[in-house]
Amino acid sequence: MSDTETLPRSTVANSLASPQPRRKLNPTIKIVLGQIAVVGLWLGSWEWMSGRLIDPFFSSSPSAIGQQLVEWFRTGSIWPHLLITLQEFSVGLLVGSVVGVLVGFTLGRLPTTAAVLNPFVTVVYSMPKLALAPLFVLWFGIGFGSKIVLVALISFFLVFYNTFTGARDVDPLYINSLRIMGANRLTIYRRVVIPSAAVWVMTGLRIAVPQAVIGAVVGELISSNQGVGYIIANAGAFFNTTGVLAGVALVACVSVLLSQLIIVLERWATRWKQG
Amino acid sequence: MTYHGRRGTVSALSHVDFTLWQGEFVALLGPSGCGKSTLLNMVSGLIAPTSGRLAYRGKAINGPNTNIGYMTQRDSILPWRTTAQNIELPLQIRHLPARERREKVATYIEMVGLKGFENTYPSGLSGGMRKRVGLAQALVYEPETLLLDEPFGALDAILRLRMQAELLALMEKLGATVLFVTHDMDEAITLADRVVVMSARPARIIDEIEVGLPRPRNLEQLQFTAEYQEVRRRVWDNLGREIHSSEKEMANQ
Repeated sequence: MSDTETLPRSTVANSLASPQPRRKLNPTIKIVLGQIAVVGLWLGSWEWMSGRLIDPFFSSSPSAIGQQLVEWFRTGSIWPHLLITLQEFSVGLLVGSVVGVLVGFTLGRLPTTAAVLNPFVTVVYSMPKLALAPLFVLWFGIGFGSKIVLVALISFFLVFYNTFTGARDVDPLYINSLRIMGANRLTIYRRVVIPSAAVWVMTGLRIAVPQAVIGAVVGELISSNQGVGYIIANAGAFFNTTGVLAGVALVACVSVLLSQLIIVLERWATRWKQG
Repeated sequence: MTYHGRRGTVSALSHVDFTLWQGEFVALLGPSGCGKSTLLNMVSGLIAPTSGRLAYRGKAINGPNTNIGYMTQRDSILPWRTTAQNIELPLQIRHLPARERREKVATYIEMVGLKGFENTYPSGLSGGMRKRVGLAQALVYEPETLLLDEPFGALDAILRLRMQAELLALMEKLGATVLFVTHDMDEAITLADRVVVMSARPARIIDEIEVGLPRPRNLEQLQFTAEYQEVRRRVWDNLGREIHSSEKEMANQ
């Protein structure tokens, strides 16, 4: 910046005229650098304080957590647990979102039925589904079943609610336009309702993914003998702070990765919005 | 309003009563918000009149009128379909074979000057380009009657003239019936066989003027002819009276 000021007038004008002046830092790089700085500051101060200001028994430290994670993957002891959690997540999410999409589209196009059910849906939607986890264990056992039900229920509501809104709010102008062209109900569904609501379905999925991961892990925390949640619960029972935090960090990483996948999918499905 | 087909009779919207004959190009001219679009929605069968009657080719209109091509004032092209896909849509609905669809789509894209934008989504097009996609979509299946709701309002003057000329040439070729809504007096006179002048709300027909200018028309020359000026004066007299009366109404309120 400062050397730009000393350049002759014409050069300054040229650099202003070009869409992206070369000497300026790309905003994306700036943001990423800022983010790296935040993480560095956070982990650095944590590492420094641990053992100096705070007893590592309570706070552990980034290096200890990192070592634990490396250890898990080096010995491979984490894999069976991680796979179990991922299975619970994916089966639950699949069941929940498929049912959510189907019910959402159906109710979205049946305004009267939707109006009748609306208050009940709101009540069930507002219920903390995680609080039901102990009941699911009672009903479906401590294994796979109870976690899948929990994950499916959580994802169902998020996907259903968004699909429902999307199917209900299709611009009637588009529907009318197709009716004049001679389209029947099925064609209108295929060409207008579904593509129009697809944006909402994707939003529902994007919100549902991290919640579904949490659902699977919490289900395991409450009672299980396998899964990342079980690892966390087990470490917690022995006051192993490092184990708990390593487990939580692993869950967070998995969740972020899965969310990124969905975002890519969402971009593809709504590519028409970018022009 | 009365809407006659060849064998046709009656239809109405309160105090609006007229007949559109087959092969005729009628312009509905009136101030914004006077109910011109409502009228087109009724002819298209999308909304039913609360009182009065409306018929197409002598039969009462019940439900969507699929004999027409309708270009609404607001963009009705689908934002998740590209230019080519949007124009192809009515042909897909009518189950035309793929080859024929491709040929027609190419012809109409060329006609509305959107070559090179076949695979662009509406979000990547300008307002005027989107209008042209809509026009091509309404024309591509060559419906016997066209309802056009201010189709060229968003276009710049040169493009507008070109599109008007294209529309006229095509209508003369197809022999289609056109009901054209506009608030532009010159556009109404240059294009139409008959100009129906409507008042501000509540909608009422003030006058019907036979344009009587010979076809085919040369749009670039037309506006400078004496006959054109004569028709224009008559339409203007009517509009002028309407403006005075609505101003009086406003003053009285």
